[in-house]
Amino acid sequence: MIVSMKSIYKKIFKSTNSWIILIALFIAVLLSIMSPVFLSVTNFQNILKQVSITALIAAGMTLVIISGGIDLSVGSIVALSGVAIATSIRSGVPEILGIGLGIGVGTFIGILNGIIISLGNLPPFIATLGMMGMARGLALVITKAESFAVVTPLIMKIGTTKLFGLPISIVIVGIVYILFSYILNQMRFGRYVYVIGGNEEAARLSGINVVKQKIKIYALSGAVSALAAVIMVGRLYSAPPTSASGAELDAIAAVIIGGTSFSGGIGTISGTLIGALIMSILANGFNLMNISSFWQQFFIGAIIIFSVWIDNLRHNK
Amino acid sequence: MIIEMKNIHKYFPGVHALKGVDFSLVENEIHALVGENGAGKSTLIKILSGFYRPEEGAIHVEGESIELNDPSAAKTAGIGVIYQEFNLVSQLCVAENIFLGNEITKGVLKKVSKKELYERSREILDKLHLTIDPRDRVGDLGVGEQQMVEICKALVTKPKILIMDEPTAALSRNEIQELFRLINNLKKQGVSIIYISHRLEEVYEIADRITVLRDGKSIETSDIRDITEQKIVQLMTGKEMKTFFPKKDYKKEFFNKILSVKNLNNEKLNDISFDLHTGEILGIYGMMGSGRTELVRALFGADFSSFKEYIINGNKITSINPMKAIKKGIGYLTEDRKDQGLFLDLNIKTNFSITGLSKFSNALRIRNREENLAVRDYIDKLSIRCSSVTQLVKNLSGGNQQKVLFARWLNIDPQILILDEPTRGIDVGAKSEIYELLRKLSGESYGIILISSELPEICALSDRVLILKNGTITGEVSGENLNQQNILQLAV
Repeated sequence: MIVSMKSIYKKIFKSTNSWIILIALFIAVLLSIMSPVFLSVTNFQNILKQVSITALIAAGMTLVIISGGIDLSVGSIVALSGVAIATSIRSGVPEILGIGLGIGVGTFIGILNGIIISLGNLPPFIATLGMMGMARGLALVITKAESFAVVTPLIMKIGTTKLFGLPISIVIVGIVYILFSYILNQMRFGRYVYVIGGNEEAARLSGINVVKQKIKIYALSGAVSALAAVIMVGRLYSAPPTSASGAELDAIAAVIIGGTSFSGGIGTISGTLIGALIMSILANGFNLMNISSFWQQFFIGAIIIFSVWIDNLRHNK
Repeated sequence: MIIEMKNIHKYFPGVHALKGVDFSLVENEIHALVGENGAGKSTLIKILSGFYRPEEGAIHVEGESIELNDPSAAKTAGIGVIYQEFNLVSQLCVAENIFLGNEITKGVLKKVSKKELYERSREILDKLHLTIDPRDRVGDLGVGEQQMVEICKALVTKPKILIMDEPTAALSRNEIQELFRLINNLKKQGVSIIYISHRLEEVYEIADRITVLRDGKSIETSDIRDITEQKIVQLMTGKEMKTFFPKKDYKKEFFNKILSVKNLNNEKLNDISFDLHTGEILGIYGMMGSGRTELVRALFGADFSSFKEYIINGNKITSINPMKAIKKGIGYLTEDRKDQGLFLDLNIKTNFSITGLSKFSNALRIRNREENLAVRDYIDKLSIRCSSVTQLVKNLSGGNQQKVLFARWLNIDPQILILDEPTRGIDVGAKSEIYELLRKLSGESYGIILISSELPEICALSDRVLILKNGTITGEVSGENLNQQNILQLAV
């Protein structure tokens, strides 16, 4: 009996994911005791809906951070892609093309990030910091800092339609996470992501085209951020050029809470999903209990430090 | 007795690394610690230097029971360590590295005094008869010089006990003699030294006593005069020693040219031209900084070079990069396992299959079962000691890490295998296995380029040796002329 307990304990202690799951469960149990509404289906759908934008961006961010990089431009990409969708549809472009254009814009900025970082040999922090300013600036220039409504049929559908009883945003998040999990675990490209983050020089000497892989990684990050923009436009029926500012930090927080190593080479996509959920559950719980959202910031900050600290302890054992 | 360790046990995930080791160091002796890879030498040292805590066992320093909970505790106890892997900051200068963690400061503001730093560094360097400028950036130094800086660094705290882990691995003959003189000097000054090396001839030259570790246990401690080299090897491997170097056939002739370069040039190389044949082991020898690693890096396309002609297997190529080289069947085992070879945080399987991933995958997915079969096959073939294919490579011993890299390159079915110091930091048993493997490979359809700074090794293994000096080939020896003297004459 003692032995089996010990081995269970060991397993939990060894796997990053189970740690975060434990934290998430602990918070959830606490909240369900404190607020009866918390456990309801509607509330859970709320949590998932709230988390969808951060979760999407964080999926791309996971790839970027595992590969040893960082992408600060994602929030601005959401804004610019949103603006691209809204302005093109307003100027008469068919909706579906407008959405396609938005996703194209996000992917293109990602590709630019990848090129600047790999060919231009700039630190990812610097390159994407620059791109963050440029994309945000462009969004403001195009809209003259105004936000206008796009209340067209398809856009409205994105916000209201349900698939299999679930809001479309949740379905999209699910698909993206299954896809990214498949990429990281089953595909060559996923291996390259880990290996480049683990030791870039060794990766190059193993015959990996590091330039090409990095461009793909940042392109994917841009693409999922643009997808987040689609969901945002569908929810707000508009695309404020100032939207999603700070979203990059939320995404990074979700990735880090999820157990991905900031120095690259280690991480899982499922961890990131749980990381994003923890942040969203906290926000939701605090709202239900009428606690100031300022405390949310405080606690999420504390969880970031706590989770990485535990991770370090585990690795130094 | 200055150090006494009793019944030391250390566990890692899945590994019982030390199984009750006893070790004692007497004042004023040079005590050699030998054992195969994975025998537990590094773990024992890391316990002595405060990096690992043993789960069981007692440590006494100068008769007092002591807990070495962190590196600073070891420092306070008078234990200094020179690690096999360099712990230098390449952006800083020599003097700053020597005094790293022991900065000389002045006043309340703890201002670092550069002038004093340089002067004190100069003193230490002079003691070692080293001509390195304390103002030089460490990153600009060669590997041998970096090792010397590392040694200077350990001397700053004036330790009573000095642990040296493979200090000669990267050194040339002259530098080794210089180092031995220094070690004997330190001994005269009352320092006790634990000396770890795979080169038994060095152990005989320098040590007073020897302790042999095997499989995490201390097998024997003896006065060095009372034990033969054969006996030591037998104790280390646990089996009778066979002939060490495989026999070679001097009359072998090679006809099939597999690689040919003409007038290869870059910053470090001048007009390099040579051929390599199927079934041949071509040795490349040169002193530190002669351009031997630069030459193979250029061949593999890791560094830029220009050439008049480069022919692989009859195909002329106009440019080269690592991707292309691998496609053409060139494998390159790098000199520096940890910086340029391994993905330490990733598992054996990933480390193994990365160069030959296309064998087990298509555009959509990696075929896991085939990959697992292949990696298990190589684990058997090369007898890699590990707990599973998903064990992290950082938890393997140096020799087993090296074997994983061998497996990585063999898996691409190479025609040309470039091996840069393949036995560096590897114990006798694993070395002999690698020699055997090399001979077997060269008998097949491979052409092998071998770099080694160990003359006996390069003489025994190579069919032909090119000698490099200042980036130029100064000569070639083969057949009956292939001996240490001839090679050295061309190299210095």
